[in-house]
Amino acid sequence: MKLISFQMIRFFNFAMREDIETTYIRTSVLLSICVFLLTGCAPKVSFQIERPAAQRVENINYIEIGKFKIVSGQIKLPSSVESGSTQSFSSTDKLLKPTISKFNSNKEQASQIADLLRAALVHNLSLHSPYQLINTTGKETGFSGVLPDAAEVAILQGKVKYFERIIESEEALSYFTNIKNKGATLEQSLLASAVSMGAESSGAGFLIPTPYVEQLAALEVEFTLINKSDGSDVVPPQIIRTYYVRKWGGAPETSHLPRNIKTAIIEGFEQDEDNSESFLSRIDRAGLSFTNPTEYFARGFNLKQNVQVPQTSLDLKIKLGRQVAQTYVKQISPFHETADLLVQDGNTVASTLIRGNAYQEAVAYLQGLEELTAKDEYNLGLAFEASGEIPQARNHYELALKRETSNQDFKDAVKRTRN
Amino acid sequence: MNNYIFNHTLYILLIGAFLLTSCAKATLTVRSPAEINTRDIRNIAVGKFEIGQISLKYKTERNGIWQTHPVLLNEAQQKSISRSVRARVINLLTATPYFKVVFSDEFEKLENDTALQQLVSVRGYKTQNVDAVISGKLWLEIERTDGVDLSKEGLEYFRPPRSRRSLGLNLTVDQVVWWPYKSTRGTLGLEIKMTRLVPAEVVATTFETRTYSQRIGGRSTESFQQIAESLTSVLPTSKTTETESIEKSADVLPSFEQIIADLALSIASGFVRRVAVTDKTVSYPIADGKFPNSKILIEAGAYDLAIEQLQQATAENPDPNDLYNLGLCFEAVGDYGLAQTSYREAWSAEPENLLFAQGMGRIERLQRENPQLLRQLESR
Repeated sequence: MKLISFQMIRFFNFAMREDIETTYIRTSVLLSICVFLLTGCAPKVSFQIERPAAQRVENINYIEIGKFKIVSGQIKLPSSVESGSTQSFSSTDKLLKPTISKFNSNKEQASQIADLLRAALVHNLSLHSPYQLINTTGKETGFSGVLPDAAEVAILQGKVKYFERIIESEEALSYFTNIKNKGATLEQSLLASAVSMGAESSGAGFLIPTPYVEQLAALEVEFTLINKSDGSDVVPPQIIRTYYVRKWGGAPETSHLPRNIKTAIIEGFEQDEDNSESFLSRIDRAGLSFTNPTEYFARGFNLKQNVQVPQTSLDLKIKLGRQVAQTYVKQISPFHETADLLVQDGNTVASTLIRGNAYQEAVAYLQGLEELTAKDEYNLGLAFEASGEIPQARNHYELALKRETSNQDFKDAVKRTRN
Repeated sequence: MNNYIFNHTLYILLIGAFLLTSCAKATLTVRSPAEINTRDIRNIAVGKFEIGQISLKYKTERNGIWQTHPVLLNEAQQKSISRSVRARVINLLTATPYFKVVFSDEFEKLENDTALQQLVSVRGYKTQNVDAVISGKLWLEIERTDGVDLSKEGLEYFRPPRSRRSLGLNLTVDQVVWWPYKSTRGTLGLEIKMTRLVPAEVVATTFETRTYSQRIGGRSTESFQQIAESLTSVLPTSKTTETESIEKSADVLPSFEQIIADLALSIASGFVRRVAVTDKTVSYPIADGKFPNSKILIEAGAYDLAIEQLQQATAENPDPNDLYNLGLCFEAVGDYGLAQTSYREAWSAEPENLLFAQGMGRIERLQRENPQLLRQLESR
């Protein structure tokens, strides 16, 4: 904001000297800045909604953590590799030896991860789920206090496959050194740099061993949630997989993994990498150390972070264990998230309430109205959906669609809530 | 004509300035409810912190050949690390007003979590006046690497022309440069569990991880990050500046002990925030009410005084903006029921005002995400 006002003053100063025509232009610029400010200061709307569990869990109030058994065997590759074009080992791939194209679970490596996975699961269930935990140790002898009715207890257990490979090695990279004359013309210097890049990619130049670290990991867990009284499945068994690949140092294009697998992993499983660190937030953090030191420490701002330092193997295990635990807990427990909602411009009061995240108020208001238009019905469905009540949401979406059978938004909404 | 346009510009500037000031958001400190309901728990004892894994390593790299030297720790050393982490947690818990830490080693002597759970379930403990026991499990890995970055750098040679006819020399010569660096990375995963004794129940478990990574020397590709670091390092980063030592310097890698202490401090603060009602800094808009002092009072954090004055003002003249500000004050002190009532009153006067709807939405969201909220805040 300060910047903008500074600029405005500059424009203003100029305006005094310049002739009328340019002053007109400047006036319009100023006007547009004002328009920007008007819109820029409208409250930003983000929707915080509740989503129901993906699987239906009935009559279960307690969860007991059972055994997570480590099994050996191969972990399936990401589904986009399995199904898609497997043009494996094309000659353009820059593969490092040994090439890894299969993830075989190794029992020794997996001993830690089962325990870390259990900790992550218990953490997620304890914070966000409606269930009460009665045994979190994963051992049969655990908890023997007053036990609830076995029919209300579900045992969560699983089979774990884990693959991890951290390769610390060197690759001979080509460095084509060159002498450039600064007096040369632009074309000449462009040509020279093109020659040097071409030479480096073809392997000419000095070959110098360049260190790198590449980490590959994959985790597959088959979860089962069974009823304690009769051993029947509460929800169908779920297999959840996650993968990781990253390289520090060396040439960025080479890898021990074939390219198609690597891109599938990066696209499918590593979106939430911590590259969101912005310049501004660092300043904010420093401020936080004065205003609220507990929060400053709690959020780990006292800890230095450098992305150039490779992760430890413990980091890797925790990261994958967490991902899998989070994905599974969403299957059996409702969760909260930020989402984009498409609010229809029906009754303005109701849409204002929805925009303000007051979904229950919106439901109460809309239900109190005498007559609802198709768009109002849709908004009522939206308010129900946002508070996690999918069956009611579907009812109202269907009512809206009945009134306007060709509306694509209504069709999408009905489709979305049907599953 | 010229003058006319000039006047216009002035008006626009005035409007702009007005807009700039009118939509100011205030930074408020509001009470935020505990994520975990710890009602009825006042006296806590701290049990043992089990060891999941502790590993310390030194790594070296020269000419692409990597070597790893693990630091072998005997059982006593591992235990002392676990005890130092435990001490950090106790330290922070004693600092919160909500819990009283009972110093008894009965629970610490137990071998592991299973033993604790059994003791609790049969009520075989001797220590009285304990409502809950905190126990934990930790995983720790710290690596320190000594290595070399490799890069091609253009070095410039410049010789000014000696006479008018000579051109002088201005060359860029590529050279391969080895940049030695030292780096360290530490990861601590800590599972903290709170078990209530009567009735026996696991109230909460959290599993938190923190990492620490630092690098000295080497070729920096993150120049932007470095600029930011150098900027923020000018600002003192913590209140406890008197303990400034060489270990805190940016040019020296911290010792293993220092890293463990920093990681444990961060996780313990996180746990305390989970189980206790804490203050949170947020930025919410303040409405332009009729009652002029309220804005200043709210911005200054004098919520109680603002509530008192706003209640009087709104009783005589219920202006919706004042009612919204009153709700904001109630929200800040953690009185969510009254906050919701005030927001609703403001909204019913102006049902299309998004600001008021957002106030209601915030409270609704809090209640949706923390069903135990109301009871919890009443009990404090």
